[in-house]
Amino acid sequence: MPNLCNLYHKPSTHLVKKLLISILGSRLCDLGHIQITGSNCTFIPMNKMLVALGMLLWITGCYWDNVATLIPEGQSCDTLDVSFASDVIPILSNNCYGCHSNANAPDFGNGLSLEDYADVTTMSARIIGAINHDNGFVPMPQGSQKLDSCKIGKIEAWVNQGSLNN
Amino acid sequence: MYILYRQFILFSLILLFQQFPVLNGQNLDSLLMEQMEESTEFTTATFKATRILNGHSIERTNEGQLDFRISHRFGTINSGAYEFFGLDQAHIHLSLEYGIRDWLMVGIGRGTFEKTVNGFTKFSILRQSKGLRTMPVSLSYMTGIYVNGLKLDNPDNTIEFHHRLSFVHQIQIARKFTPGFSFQITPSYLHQNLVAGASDPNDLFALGAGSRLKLSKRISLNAEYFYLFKPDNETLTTAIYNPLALGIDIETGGHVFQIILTNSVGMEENAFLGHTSGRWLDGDIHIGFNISRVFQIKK
Repeated sequence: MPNLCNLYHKPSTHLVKKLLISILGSRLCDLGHIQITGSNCTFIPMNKMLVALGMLLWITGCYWDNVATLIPEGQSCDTLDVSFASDVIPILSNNCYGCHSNANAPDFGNGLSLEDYADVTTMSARIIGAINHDNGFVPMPQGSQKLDSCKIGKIEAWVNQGSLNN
Repeated sequence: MYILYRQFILFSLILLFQQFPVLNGQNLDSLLMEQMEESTEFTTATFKATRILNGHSIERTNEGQLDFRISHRFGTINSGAYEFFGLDQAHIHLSLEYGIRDWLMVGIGRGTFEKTVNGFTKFSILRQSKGLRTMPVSLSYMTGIYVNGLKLDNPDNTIEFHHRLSFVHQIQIARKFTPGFSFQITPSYLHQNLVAGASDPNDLFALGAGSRLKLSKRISLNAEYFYLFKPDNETLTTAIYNPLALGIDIETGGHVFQIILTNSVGMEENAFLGHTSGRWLDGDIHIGFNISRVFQIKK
């Protein structure tokens, strides 16, 4: 790979080189990284530039997807018939037990565990405030996005239906 | 006698003054020599750290330098005294950043927001300079990749690994106007492979502006704002707001310490551009800090 700055200094008959010089030549040495010492001009060699450009292209596939389309609400969101064991516990387990399990609560969960039915019912108002990110509540889950509306809807429906231990 | 005395004084004065043109002549000669060997003077320390506050600045680590960064953002100030004004809920971001060349810097990090692992590369393309070559601004290009590390709710296995990825492309254009004032414009582009709702944009453009105002030799006042070109919040699954950060840089030897007030809890580009849910006017302000410790790995 030729050094671009050498191109700039050596007149060349090669057409591509000529083009490069005419397009970039005068500007190349305006770039910040050239050091001029005497008549020698050093520049980032072309092969290193290409390696750098190759690193840019590590970014390959782009997708334009969203959760709502990939997991259609109709299939998974049923707020009419919610059960503590099969609906509420899995949501809590996936999203809250990192801190709010019996084992983790004293260290990470501010002492609040959400594993037992009694604990969840006594804290239900606080849970709903927290997952809705309402004013006056600590927004949960901490450090990630709000739960999707289906999960929030299921927990709210379970509370509205009387917080049954079903 | 008197006249002789006066002549003597005059003569010696002339002799004395004669020295100066000779001296000046020498100075001019050496000045001329310097002029002939005039070199390009590059602007340094446009910003003190590689971040203005949340986002990248024009600066990068020098060749062979390893920068260990520890950042925290706490909960919102308006959560009150019981939550110690947010300090009970800490979010962290740790990263290691290395200067492969003076113009090329890479970094990896891990943050609390969405348990993200990220990597980035920053290229310095132009350097502000005067003298032999004049360049009015410095320009760098930063590209980053962000991997969401959360357990995903995936009932039908429709969500794959590539859905965890987000990408950022960003150009930093900065100028140090005076030794005490620098300004940067930061056009940014965020692509998220997966968003929550069908109306949420996968591609998000933002224009950032940041500045540094030097208060003393070691302390400077920084501000940073990103304007998001996004659809109306009504149409989004979760409302997002323009991130604004104000802070103070304190430089002590190899450390740069930044104390920050911001409405964004995320410290990576994908987080503060795509997921800033707080509003300054509602008091959703997070206290935070960045610590940067630079080690010279290669001499």
